Amino acid sequence: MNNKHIACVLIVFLCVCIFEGVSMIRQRATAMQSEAQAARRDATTAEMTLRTQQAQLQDLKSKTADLIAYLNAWEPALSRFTTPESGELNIGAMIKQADLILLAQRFEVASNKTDTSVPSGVATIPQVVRAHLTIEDDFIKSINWFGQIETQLPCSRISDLSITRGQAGSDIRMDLVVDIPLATAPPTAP
Amino acid sequence: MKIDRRIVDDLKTERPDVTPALAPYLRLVPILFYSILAGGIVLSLFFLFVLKNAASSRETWKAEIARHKQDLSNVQTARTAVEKQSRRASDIVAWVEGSRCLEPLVAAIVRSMEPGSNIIELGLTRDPSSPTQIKLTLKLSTQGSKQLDTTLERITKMNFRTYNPNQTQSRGEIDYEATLIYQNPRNVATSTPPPATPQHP
Repeated sequence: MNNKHIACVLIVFLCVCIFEGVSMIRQRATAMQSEAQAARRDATTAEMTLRTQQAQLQDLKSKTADLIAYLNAWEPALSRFTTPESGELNIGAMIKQADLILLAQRFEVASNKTDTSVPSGVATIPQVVRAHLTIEDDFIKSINWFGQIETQLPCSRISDLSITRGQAGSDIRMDLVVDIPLATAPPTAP
Repeated sequence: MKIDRRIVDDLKTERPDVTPALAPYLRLVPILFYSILAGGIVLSLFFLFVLKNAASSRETWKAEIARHKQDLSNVQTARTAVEKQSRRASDIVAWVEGSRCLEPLVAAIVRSMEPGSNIIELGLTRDPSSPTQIKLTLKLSTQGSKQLDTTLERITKMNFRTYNPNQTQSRGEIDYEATLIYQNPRNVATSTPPPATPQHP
Protein backbone atom coordinates (compact mmCIF):
# COMPACT_ATOMS: atom_id res chain seq x y z
CA MET A 1 0.00 0.00 0.00
CA ASN A 2 1.59 3.27 -1.07
CA ASN A 3 0.94 6.85 0.11
CA LYS A 4 -1.87 7.38 -2.39
CA HIS A 5 -3.69 4.37 -1.05
CA ILE A 6 -3.25 5.64 2.49
CA ALA A 7 -4.63 9.05 1.41
CA CYS A 8 -7.64 7.34 -0.09
CA VAL A 9 -8.24 5.38 3.07
CA LEU A 10 -7.97 8.57 5.12
CA ILE A 11 -10.44 10.33 2.87
CA VAL A 12 -12.87 7.44 3.11
CA PHE A 13 -12.40 7.51 6.87
CA LEU A 14 -13.21 11.23 6.87
CA CYS A 15 -16.31 10.52 4.80
CA VAL A 16 -17.44 7.93 7.36
CA CYS A 17 -16.81 10.41 10.17
CA ILE A 18 -18.90 13.09 8.42
CA PHE A 19 -21.64 10.54 7.84
CA GLU A 20 -21.59 9.54 11.51
CA GLY A 21 -21.66 13.15 12.63
CA VAL A 22 -24.67 13.92 10.46
CA SER A 23 -26.32 10.74 11.69
CA MET A 24 -25.80 11.79 15.32
CA ILE A 25 -27.32 15.20 14.70
CA ARG A 26 -30.26 13.52 12.97
CA GLN A 27 -30.76 11.17 15.92
CA ARG A 28 -30.75 14.09 18.33
CA ALA A 29 -33.25 15.96 16.17
CA THR A 30 -35.51 12.90 15.98
CA ALA A 31 -35.30 12.37 19.75
CA MET A 32 -36.12 16.02 20.35
CA GLN A 33 -39.07 15.78 17.98
CA SER A 34 -40.32 12.75 19.92
CA GLU A 35 -39.99 14.68 23.17
CA ALA A 36 -41.86 17.62 21.67
CA GLN A 37 -44.65 15.31 20.49
CA ALA A 38 -44.83 13.67 23.93
CA ALA A 39 -45.02 17.13 25.54
CA ARG A 40 -47.78 18.05 23.09
CA ARG A 41 -49.73 14.89 24.01
CA ASP A 42 -49.26 15.65 27.71
CA ALA A 43 -50.42 19.22 27.18
CA THR A 44 -53.52 18.00 25.33
CA THR A 45 -54.28 15.55 28.15
CA ALA A 46 -53.73 18.28 30.76
CA GLU A 47 -56.04 20.61 28.84
CA MET A 48 -58.74 17.96 28.63
CA THR A 49 -58.42 17.24 32.35
CA LEU A 50 -58.61 20.95 33.08
CA ARG A 51 -61.72 21.38 30.94
CA THR A 52 -63.38 18.38 32.62
CA GLN A 53 -62.55 19.75 36.06
CA GLN A 54 -63.80 23.21 35.07
CA ALA A 55 -67.06 21.71 33.80
CA GLN A 56 -67.44 19.70 37.01
CA LEU A 57 -66.77 22.82 39.08
CA GLN A 58 -69.40 24.76 37.16
CA ASP A 59 -71.82 21.89 37.59
CA LEU A 60 -71.09 21.73 41.31
CA LYS A 61 -71.51 25.51 41.61
CA SER A 62 -74.86 25.45 39.84
CA LYS A 63 -76.03 22.48 41.90
CA THR A 64 -75.04 24.06 45.20
CA ALA A 65 -76.04 27.64 44.33
CA ASP A 66 -79.31 27.44 46.27
CA LEU A 67 -77.64 25.75 49.20
CA ILE A 68 -74.87 28.36 49.34
CA ALA A 69 -77.37 31.20 48.99
CA TYR A 70 -79.23 29.64 51.93
CA LEU A 71 -75.95 29.52 53.85
CA ASN A 72 -75.21 33.16 53.04
CA ALA A 73 -78.67 34.16 54.29
CA TRP A 74 -78.14 32.35 57.58
CA GLU A 75 -74.47 33.11 58.09
CA PRO A 76 -74.96 36.50 59.82
CA ALA A 77 -77.42 35.03 62.31
CA LEU A 78 -75.15 32.07 62.92
CA SER A 79 -71.95 34.05 63.38
CA ARG A 80 -73.64 36.34 65.89
CA PHE A 81 -72.53 34.14 68.76
CA THR A 82 -68.88 33.24 68.79
CA THR A 83 -68.31 32.81 72.52
CA PRO A 84 -70.40 31.16 75.24
CA GLU A 85 -70.51 34.47 77.11
CA SER A 86 -72.23 36.27 74.24
CA GLY A 87 -75.00 33.64 74.21
CA GLU A 88 -75.47 33.81 77.99
CA LEU A 89 -75.59 37.61 77.94
CA ASN A 90 -78.20 37.62 75.19
CA ILE A 91 -80.52 35.21 76.97
CA GLY A 92 -80.05 37.07 80.27
CA ALA A 93 -80.81 40.40 78.60
CA MET A 94 -83.96 39.01 76.98
CA ILE A 95 -85.25 37.71 80.33
CA LYS A 96 -84.55 41.06 81.98
CA GLN A 97 -86.16 42.97 79.14
CA ALA A 98 -89.33 40.89 79.39
CA ASP A 99 -89.36 41.36 83.18
CA LEU A 100 -90.09 37.70 83.81
CA ILE A 101 -89.87 35.92 87.12
CA LEU A 102 -86.91 33.67 86.72
CA LEU A 103 -86.83 30.84 89.24
CA ALA A 104 -83.65 29.19 88.06
CA GLN A 105 -81.11 29.46 85.33
CA ARG A 106 -78.05 27.48 84.44
CA PHE A 107 -75.74 27.71 81.46
CA GLU A 108 -73.39 25.11 80.12
CA VAL A 109 -71.33 24.57 77.01
CA ALA A 110 -72.23 21.25 75.39
CA SER A 111 -70.96 19.48 72.30
CA ASN A 112 -73.30 19.31 69.36
CA LYS A 113 -73.69 15.60 68.67
CA THR A 114 -75.81 16.05 65.58
CA ASP A 115 -73.17 17.89 63.55
CA THR A 116 -72.61 15.73 60.46
CA SER A 117 -69.21 17.24 59.72
CA VAL A 118 -67.63 15.94 62.90
CA PRO A 119 -66.24 12.72 61.31
CA SER A 120 -64.49 14.73 58.61
CA GLY A 121 -62.87 16.88 61.29
CA VAL A 122 -64.46 20.18 60.22
CA ALA A 123 -67.39 20.74 62.53
CA THR A 124 -69.64 23.62 61.57
CA ILE A 125 -71.40 23.78 64.91
CA PRO A 126 -69.11 21.90 67.29
CA GLN A 127 -70.60 23.35 70.47
CA VAL A 128 -73.73 24.96 71.82
CA VAL A 129 -74.47 27.15 74.80
CA ARG A 130 -77.23 25.33 76.64
CA ALA A 131 -79.44 27.45 78.88
CA HIS A 132 -81.63 25.65 81.41
CA LEU A 133 -84.30 28.13 82.46
CA THR A 134 -87.24 27.91 84.83
CA ILE A 135 -89.73 30.74 84.54
CA GLU A 136 -93.00 31.30 86.36
CA ASP A 137 -95.05 34.18 85.18
CA ASP A 138 -98.23 35.20 83.42
CA PHE A 139 -99.25 32.77 80.67
CA ILE A 140 -99.46 35.29 77.82
CA LYS A 141 -96.32 37.10 78.87
CA SER A 142 -94.36 33.86 79.11
CA ILE A 143 -95.58 32.46 75.80
CA ASN A 144 -94.86 35.77 74.05
CA TRP A 145 -91.35 35.80 75.47
CA PHE A 146 -90.91 32.23 74.38
CA GLY A 147 -91.92 33.21 70.84
CA GLN A 148 -89.64 36.23 71.03
CA ILE A 149 -86.63 34.01 71.68
CA GLU A 150 -87.32 32.00 68.55
CA THR A 151 -87.81 35.16 66.49
CA GLN A 152 -84.92 37.23 67.77
CA LEU A 153 -82.51 34.31 67.93
CA PRO A 154 -83.49 32.42 64.78
CA CYS A 155 -80.60 29.99 65.14
CA SER A 156 -81.54 29.02 68.69
CA ARG A 157 -83.13 25.65 69.32
CA ILE A 158 -85.64 24.93 72.07
CA SER A 159 -84.61 21.37 72.79
CA ASP A 160 -86.90 20.82 75.76
CA LEU A 161 -90.03 22.58 76.94
CA SER A 162 -92.35 21.73 79.76
CA ILE A 163 -95.36 23.87 80.71
CA THR A 164 -97.38 23.28 83.86
CA ARG A 165 -99.71 25.40 85.95
CA GLY A 166 -98.14 28.05 88.10
CA GLN A 167 -98.90 29.12 91.66
CA ALA A 168 -101.26 32.00 90.77
CA GLY A 169 -104.35 31.81 88.56
CA SER A 170 -103.01 32.79 85.15
CA ASP A 171 -99.42 31.90 85.83
CA ILE A 172 -97.58 29.05 84.19
CA ARG A 173 -94.34 27.40 85.09
CA MET A 174 -92.15 26.93 82.09
CA ASP A 175 -89.02 24.79 82.12
CA LEU A 176 -87.10 25.12 78.93
CA VAL A 177 -83.72 24.28 77.51
CA VAL A 178 -82.42 26.64 74.84
CA ASP A 179 -79.45 25.70 72.67
CA ILE A 180 -77.53 28.53 71.03
CA PRO A 181 -75.07 27.34 68.37
CA LEU A 182 -71.43 28.37 68.53
CA ALA A 183 -70.42 28.02 64.89
CA THR A 184 -66.88 27.93 63.57
CA ALA A 185 -65.65 30.71 61.29
CA PRO A 186 -66.99 30.39 57.74
CA PRO A 187 -64.59 29.19 55.01
CA THR A 188 -63.32 31.74 52.55
CA ALA A 189 -65.48 32.12 49.46
CA PRO A 190 -64.08 30.63 46.21
CA MET B 1 1.08 11.17 -13.24
CA LYS B 2 2.91 11.97 -16.49
CA ILE B 3 3.01 15.55 -17.88
CA ASP B 4 3.42 16.21 -21.55
CA ARG B 5 6.79 17.69 -22.31
CA ARG B 6 5.34 19.92 -25.03
CA ILE B 7 2.94 21.72 -22.69
CA VAL B 8 5.06 22.34 -19.67
CA ASP B 9 8.64 23.33 -19.73
CA ASP B 10 9.93 21.68 -16.65
CA LEU B 11 13.36 22.37 -15.30
CA LYS B 12 13.28 19.21 -13.41
CA THR B 13 15.38 16.41 -14.63
CA GLU B 14 13.61 13.46 -15.99
CA ARG B 15 12.84 10.94 -13.29
CA PRO B 16 10.62 7.94 -12.98
CA ASP B 17 7.33 8.13 -11.00
CA VAL B 18 7.84 7.56 -7.29
CA THR B 19 4.66 5.60 -6.95
CA PRO B 20 2.53 3.94 -9.55
CA ALA B 21 -0.72 5.60 -10.63
CA LEU B 22 -3.87 4.72 -8.78
CA ALA B 23 -6.61 2.72 -10.39
CA PRO B 24 -9.09 4.92 -12.38
CA TYR B 25 -12.06 3.99 -10.21
CA LEU B 26 -10.33 5.51 -7.21
CA ARG B 27 -10.82 8.93 -8.86
CA LEU B 28 -14.29 8.65 -7.36
CA VAL B 29 -12.80 9.00 -3.87
CA PRO B 30 -12.31 12.80 -3.95
CA ILE B 31 -15.66 13.20 -5.71
CA LEU B 32 -17.27 11.12 -2.99
CA PHE B 33 -15.45 13.12 -0.32
CA TYR B 34 -16.58 16.51 -1.61
CA SER B 35 -20.12 15.24 -2.18
CA ILE B 36 -20.31 13.84 1.35
CA LEU B 37 -18.79 17.04 2.77
CA ALA B 38 -21.33 19.21 0.96
CA GLY B 39 -24.22 16.89 1.74
CA GLY B 40 -23.08 16.60 5.35
CA ILE B 41 -23.06 20.37 5.76
CA VAL B 42 -26.51 20.73 4.18
CA LEU B 43 -28.01 17.84 6.14
CA SER B 44 -26.38 18.98 9.38
CA LEU B 45 -27.84 22.44 8.93
CA PHE B 46 -31.24 20.95 8.18
CA PHE B 47 -31.17 18.62 11.20
CA LEU B 48 -29.89 21.43 13.43
CA PHE B 49 -32.82 23.53 12.25
CA VAL B 50 -35.22 20.64 13.01
CA LEU B 51 -33.56 20.14 16.42
CA LYS B 52 -33.89 23.81 17.29
CA ASN B 53 -37.53 23.89 16.24
CA ALA B 54 -38.33 20.70 18.18
CA ALA B 55 -36.60 22.07 21.30
CA SER B 56 -38.56 25.30 21.01
CA SER B 57 -41.79 23.36 20.48
CA ARG B 58 -41.05 21.14 23.48
CA GLU B 59 -40.46 24.17 25.70
CA THR B 60 -43.70 25.75 24.47
CA TRP B 61 -45.72 22.61 25.25
CA LYS B 62 -44.01 22.23 28.62
CA ALA B 63 -44.98 25.80 29.45
CA GLU B 64 -48.52 24.98 28.34
CA ILE B 65 -48.55 21.91 30.63
CA ALA B 66 -47.33 24.03 33.55
CA ARG B 67 -50.05 26.61 32.85
CA HIS B 68 -52.73 23.89 32.69
CA LYS B 69 -51.45 22.36 35.92
CA GLN B 70 -51.62 25.76 37.63
CA ASP B 71 -55.17 26.28 36.33
CA LEU B 72 -56.10 22.77 37.45
CA SER B 73 -54.73 23.49 40.89
CA ASN B 74 -56.82 26.68 41.04
CA VAL B 75 -59.92 24.79 39.92
CA GLN B 76 -59.34 22.12 42.56
CA THR B 77 -58.86 24.78 45.24
CA ALA B 78 -62.12 26.41 44.17
CA ARG B 79 -63.85 23.02 44.17
CA THR B 80 -62.61 22.27 47.68
CA ALA B 81 -63.89 25.66 48.84
CA VAL B 82 -67.30 25.06 47.23
CA GLU B 83 -67.48 21.60 48.82
CA LYS B 84 -66.59 23.05 52.22
CA GLN B 85 -69.26 25.71 51.84
CA SER B 86 -71.76 23.13 50.68
CA ARG B 87 -70.98 20.90 53.67
CA ARG B 88 -71.31 23.87 56.00
CA ALA B 89 -74.62 24.80 54.37
CA SER B 90 -75.88 21.23 54.78
CA ASP B 91 -74.96 21.33 58.47
CA ILE B 92 -76.78 24.61 58.89
CA VAL B 93 -79.82 23.29 57.04
CA ALA B 94 -79.80 20.29 59.39
CA TRP B 95 -79.51 22.59 62.40
CA VAL B 96 -82.26 24.92 61.20
CA GLU B 97 -84.54 22.00 60.33
CA GLY B 98 -84.05 20.74 63.86
CA SER B 99 -84.72 24.17 65.35
CA ARG B 100 -88.20 24.71 64.01
CA CYS B 101 -90.18 27.18 66.10
CA LEU B 102 -92.25 25.54 68.81
CA GLU B 103 -94.15 28.65 69.86
CA PRO B 104 -96.76 28.40 67.04
CA LEU B 105 -97.30 24.75 67.96
CA VAL B 106 -97.71 25.58 71.65
CA ALA B 107 -100.06 28.43 70.78
CA ALA B 108 -102.11 26.14 68.51
CA ILE B 109 -102.40 23.49 71.25
CA VAL B 110 -103.39 26.09 73.85
CA ARG B 111 -105.94 27.72 71.53
CA SER B 112 -107.50 24.36 70.75
CA MET B 113 -108.78 24.06 74.32
CA GLU B 114 -112.54 24.16 74.51
CA PRO B 115 -114.53 25.31 77.55
CA GLY B 116 -114.31 22.70 80.27
CA SER B 117 -110.93 21.43 79.16
CA ASN B 118 -107.57 22.37 80.65
CA ILE B 119 -103.96 21.59 80.00
CA ILE B 120 -102.40 20.14 83.11
CA GLU B 121 -99.04 19.58 81.56
CA LEU B 122 -97.55 20.15 78.15
CA GLY B 123 -94.13 18.88 77.19
CA LEU B 124 -92.19 19.12 73.95
CA THR B 125 -88.83 17.41 73.87
CA ARG B 126 -86.59 17.07 70.86
CA ASP B 127 -84.81 13.81 70.24
CA PRO B 128 -81.11 14.60 70.89
CA SER B 129 -79.94 12.43 67.99
CA SER B 130 -82.69 13.53 65.61
CA PRO B 131 -83.92 17.00 66.58
CA THR B 132 -86.58 17.09 63.86
CA GLN B 133 -88.51 14.54 65.93
CA ILE B 134 -90.37 16.15 68.80
CA LYS B 135 -91.81 14.10 71.59
CA LEU B 136 -95.15 15.54 72.66
CA THR B 137 -96.41 14.88 76.16
CA LEU B 138 -99.86 16.25 76.85
CA LYS B 139 -101.89 15.83 80.00
CA LEU B 140 -105.43 17.11 79.67
CA SER B 141 -108.26 17.57 82.08
CA THR B 142 -111.34 16.95 79.99
CA GLN B 143 -114.44 14.88 79.61
CA GLY B 144 -114.36 12.49 76.66
CA SER B 145 -111.85 12.32 73.85
CA LYS B 146 -113.31 15.07 71.67
CA GLN B 147 -110.90 17.63 73.06
CA LEU B 148 -107.90 15.47 72.17
CA ASP B 149 -109.22 15.01 68.64
CA THR B 150 -109.60 18.78 68.25
CA THR B 151 -106.08 19.35 69.55
CA LEU B 152 -104.61 16.72 67.25
CA GLU B 153 -106.45 18.26 64.34
CA ARG B 154 -104.86 21.61 65.10
CA ILE B 155 -101.46 19.95 65.32
CA THR B 156 -102.01 18.35 61.92
CA LYS B 157 -102.98 21.75 60.48
CA MET B 158 -99.58 22.99 61.62
CA ASN B 159 -98.07 20.38 59.22
CA PHE B 160 -96.98 18.08 62.04
CA ARG B 161 -97.69 14.39 61.76
CA THR B 162 -98.01 12.19 64.82
CA TYR B 163 -96.19 8.89 65.12
CA ASN B 164 -96.33 6.20 67.80
CA PRO B 165 -99.25 7.74 69.70
CA ASN B 166 -99.94 6.45 73.16
CA GLN B 167 -103.06 7.47 75.03
CA THR B 168 -104.32 6.65 78.50
CA GLN B 169 -107.56 7.97 79.98
CA SER B 170 -108.63 7.90 83.59
CA ARG B 171 -110.94 9.98 85.84
CA GLY B 172 -111.41 12.93 83.47
CA GLU B 173 -107.74 13.08 82.55
CA ILE B 174 -106.06 12.10 79.33
CA ASP B 175 -102.38 11.37 79.04
CA TYR B 176 -101.25 11.54 75.46
CA GLU B 177 -97.79 10.91 74.08
CA ALA B 178 -96.66 10.95 70.47
CA THR B 179 -93.71 11.81 68.28
CA LEU B 180 -94.28 14.82 66.03
CA ILE B 181 -92.49 15.17 62.73
CA TYR B 182 -92.87 18.27 60.61
CA GLN B 183 -93.95 17.60 57.03
CA ASN B 184 -92.33 20.34 55.03
CA PRO B 185 -94.50 21.19 52.00
CA ARG B 186 -91.43 22.57 50.21
CA ASN B 187 -87.83 21.58 50.32
CA VAL B 188 -86.16 24.81 51.31
CA ALA B 189 -82.58 23.72 50.98
CA THR B 190 -82.71 22.40 47.44
CA SER B 191 -85.57 23.79 45.42
CA THR B 192 -86.61 27.19 46.69
CA PRO B 193 -84.61 30.37 47.02
CA PRO B 194 -83.52 31.25 50.54
CA PRO B 195 -85.29 33.93 52.52
CA ALA B 196 -83.91 37.46 52.37
CA THR B 197 -83.60 37.44 56.14
CA PRO B 198 -83.08 34.25 58.09
CA GLN B 199 -86.31 32.72 59.22
CA HIS B 200 -87.34 29.24 60.07
CA PRO B 201 -88.69 27.38 57.06
